[in-house]
Amino acid sequence: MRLKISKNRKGQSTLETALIFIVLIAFLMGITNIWLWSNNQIVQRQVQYNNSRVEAGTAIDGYTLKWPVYTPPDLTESEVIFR
Amino acid sequence: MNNKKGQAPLEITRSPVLKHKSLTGQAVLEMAIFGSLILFIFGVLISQLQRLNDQQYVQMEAFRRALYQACRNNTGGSGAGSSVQYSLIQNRRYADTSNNFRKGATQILSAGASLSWAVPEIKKDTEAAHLIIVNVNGDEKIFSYRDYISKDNDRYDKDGNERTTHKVFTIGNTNFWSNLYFQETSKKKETPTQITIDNKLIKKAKITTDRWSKVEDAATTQVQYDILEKSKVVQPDGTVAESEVLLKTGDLYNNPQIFTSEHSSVWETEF
Repeated sequence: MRLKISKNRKGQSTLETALIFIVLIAFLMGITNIWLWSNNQIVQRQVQYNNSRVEAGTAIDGYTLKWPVYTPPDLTESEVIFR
Repeated sequence: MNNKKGQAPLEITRSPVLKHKSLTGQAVLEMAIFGSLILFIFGVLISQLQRLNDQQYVQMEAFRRALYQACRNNTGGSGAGSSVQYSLIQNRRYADTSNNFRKGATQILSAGASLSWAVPEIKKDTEAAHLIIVNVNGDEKIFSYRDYISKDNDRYDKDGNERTTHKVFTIGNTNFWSNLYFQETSKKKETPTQITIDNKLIKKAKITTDRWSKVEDAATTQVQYDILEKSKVVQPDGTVAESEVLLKTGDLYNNPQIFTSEHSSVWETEF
């Protein structure tokens, strides 16, 4: 009888771990995707900034300041929710 | 229990009450600690991401705007070149991680850029424009160094000799003040209607929630300039030191700005 109770408890903790692990992984994937989305903005902005550097520093007639050089994309639901 | 000498006991006995309580409490404790820890990490992550992005943005913007002003304001004439000292100050609202991740109070982001424009070259008898530009929340003001300091008060004369006394124009103290006012009202209506059974559709009640919120963010930035007089002083021991006297202080900016945003939403559900 004592052994039976012990086995049930082990099963419960395994089940809890499995359920929470799935939720945790989904949550971490969402956070990772948000991080990648934001980090991509920094990289893409730097690329656009470098590409427009010569034009911005050339005193040609009719040049107007172009700022911002990069418009970040919106964060979509599919990037956040892990399916 | 047979416990031989030098052997660990086979079972650790605990009181049944203590055993039961600790198991129940452990699950609640784990949920409380790890749940709040994950939310805290998520909040820190969001703030850090926004800060990194915004810092890169203002640094780039300061240099790009300084570059633009430098190559467009050759006030000394063709080929004179120009020297630009650009200060960019922005109030940006940050996510409030402790209040449902809503937009929180503004934080100050600042960046500076100094550059000398000499394309193709600075001619001998011309003077490069020296511009001091302050940009507060998109409002840009350009100040020419020569408007405050005349040639006679420069550190070096036209022959390149250093004067014993000269004047300097510089950006002095910058004071920031920001205040956030947040108001949120929520109205809930419940209409208890009769339970109607009609073609397998069960309608019990209708709940409508109106939510309205208003945010006002007032920000003031005071940028001061100083005019200093610097002199060379010969000490009793023969060494030369530089003394500094504040001649004049003035305001470049003192512009209170109020940002107001309103949001309303209606949420309905039916049973």
